[in-house]
Amino acid sequence: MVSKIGSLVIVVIVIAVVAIAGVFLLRGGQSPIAQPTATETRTTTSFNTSTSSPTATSATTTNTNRTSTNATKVTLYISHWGFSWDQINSIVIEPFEKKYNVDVVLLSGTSADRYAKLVEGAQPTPDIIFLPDYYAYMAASKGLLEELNTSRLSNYGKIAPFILESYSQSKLSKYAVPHTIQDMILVYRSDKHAPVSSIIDVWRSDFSGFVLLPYITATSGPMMLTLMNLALNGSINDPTPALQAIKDHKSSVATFYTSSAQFSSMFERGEAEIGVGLRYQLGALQGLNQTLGGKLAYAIPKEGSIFVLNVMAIPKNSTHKDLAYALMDFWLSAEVQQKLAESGVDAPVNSEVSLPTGHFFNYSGQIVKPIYLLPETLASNLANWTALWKQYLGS
Amino acid sequence: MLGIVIGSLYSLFAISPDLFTATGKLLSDESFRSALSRTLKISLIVAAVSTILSYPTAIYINSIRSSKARRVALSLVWLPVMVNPIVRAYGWMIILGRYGIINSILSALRLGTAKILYTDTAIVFGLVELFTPFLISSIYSSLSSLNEELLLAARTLGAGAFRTFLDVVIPLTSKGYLFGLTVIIAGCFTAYTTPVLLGGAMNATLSMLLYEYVSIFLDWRMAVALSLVMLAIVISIMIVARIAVRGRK
Repeated sequence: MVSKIGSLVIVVIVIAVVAIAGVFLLRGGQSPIAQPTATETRTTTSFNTSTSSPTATSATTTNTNRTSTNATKVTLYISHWGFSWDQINSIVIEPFEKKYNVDVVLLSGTSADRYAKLVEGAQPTPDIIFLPDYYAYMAASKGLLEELNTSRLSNYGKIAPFILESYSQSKLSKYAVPHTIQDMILVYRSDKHAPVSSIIDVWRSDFSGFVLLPYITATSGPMMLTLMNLALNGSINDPTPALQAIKDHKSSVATFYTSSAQFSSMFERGEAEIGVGLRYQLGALQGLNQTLGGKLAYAIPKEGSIFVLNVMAIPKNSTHKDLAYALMDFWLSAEVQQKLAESGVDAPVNSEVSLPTGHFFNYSGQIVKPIYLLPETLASNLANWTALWKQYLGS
Repeated sequence: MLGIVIGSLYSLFAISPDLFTATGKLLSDESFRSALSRTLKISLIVAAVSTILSYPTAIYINSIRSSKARRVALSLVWLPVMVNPIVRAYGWMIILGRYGIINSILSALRLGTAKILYTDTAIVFGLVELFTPFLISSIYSSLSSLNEELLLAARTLGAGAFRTFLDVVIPLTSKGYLFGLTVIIAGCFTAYTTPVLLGGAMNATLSMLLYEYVSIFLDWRMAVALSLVMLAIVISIMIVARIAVRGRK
């Protein structure tokens, strides 16, 4: 009897201790979110426009504080996806570290992971953070980003005018700076189909069963929905005409992709012959295009070039804001933007960049009708659009 | 263990005071019900197919006299699990795709083509390959500790092979089967890579819905609610399975 009571007391004490520990950990000042030991292994594709095929390399990025021989050397934390980090490291990071005598440490992860860490105040606080405009807008709305003084960025005014003009309509423009543009294109097999010019061309009978569209939660999903809506004389805030069109032609769709890897894989396996995607996805298709003798074509929809931006921002709690500004300005420079574009990393925003004709990141003269999907529009509509999508198309 | 579970649950409710509201909203959401229905259906089909594949395989492996050969056979059984899940899924894409092996055979036999990839069937293929090794191993473990004289006794008393299997082998391997079934059901509920690559976004399972709440909508309340509902469903299924197996014994 005594031993049973003793056991019960021990169990109650254990429960109480675990419960208190749990509350303490999850309500305490320090976030329990993982410290910067996150590692990301991404397969990156190095592009050289003069080679016949892209080569894939594995880039394992680790957040390790590099050993500094100079005790006063500053450590700058950069929050970035981590993909193509080998190229970014050699083009941007190493020259910057040398010039400013700093150590740059990468805090890698998906946009959602890094946004969540920013919200929770995970340590260390990044000094500069790279996010899609949608996530950056939400961070700014929560008061997590520093309001920027763009006059400190000598290269800010060199950003393409149409980007600056569109971007200035968003409140995010006070808190973040675009470093790359992602515009929507139509990729198709020109060896099997006549040219396309409109987003509505995906419903042509010759493409039936081979259409590749983005799922609503993919980056290009809301963009596709908006552009198709505009093509059907709908409005930005009411996607039902586009949803009805997709529903009516659902049997034409091979699948709705959620990742860029899936986009390229569908073309490589012959499952798709037309796809609505983003310009950067052309990079992964260069190998297939070589195999097809250059027959993989892309078109800018006549309805317009709908685009979103990836941006750089400075978290409010950054401890090295001057250096963050310096890195931002360096990242925006024509030299860096040129090299990043030539390496197939990011499409440039600096208007002084000049890329070879035919380079997939060369949008010069192509974006004649820019349509910026404002992060405010996305933030206020995404949940509703997703619910409508599932209502019309099922899940 | 009990303290950890209760402490964790308390902590979850402590950080999410309106968890009950979120759970209610989740249960009334059509996309949740659709994903739940699909996940349950797939889990049960995978469990059934795995059962049919596992027992004969485990019995065969157990009948191998050479211990070295038995080890080799078990290694082969585990081979699919050792492959990276993305590589494994892409392998299935080659087999199940429009121009894949199956459709090539169907075309050669003039039977037309079948849309298998990006359907629930493709998910079943992938998950059966992934989880059947667990069931084979757990049934084999039970079989290997089975007293062979019981089987001999049954045969001596006039039971045929099938009757012996039903009345002796199944009851005595029920613990191993239940363990393997637990892995299958829990695994099917939580698998993400295989369903998303083979089924596509339009055939959403609960794990894909969870991903949406966490990474797209950043709605941690709904994600926590969904996690708890998934846990409750898996535990309920296991309790029902345990009762059914005990009844059989």
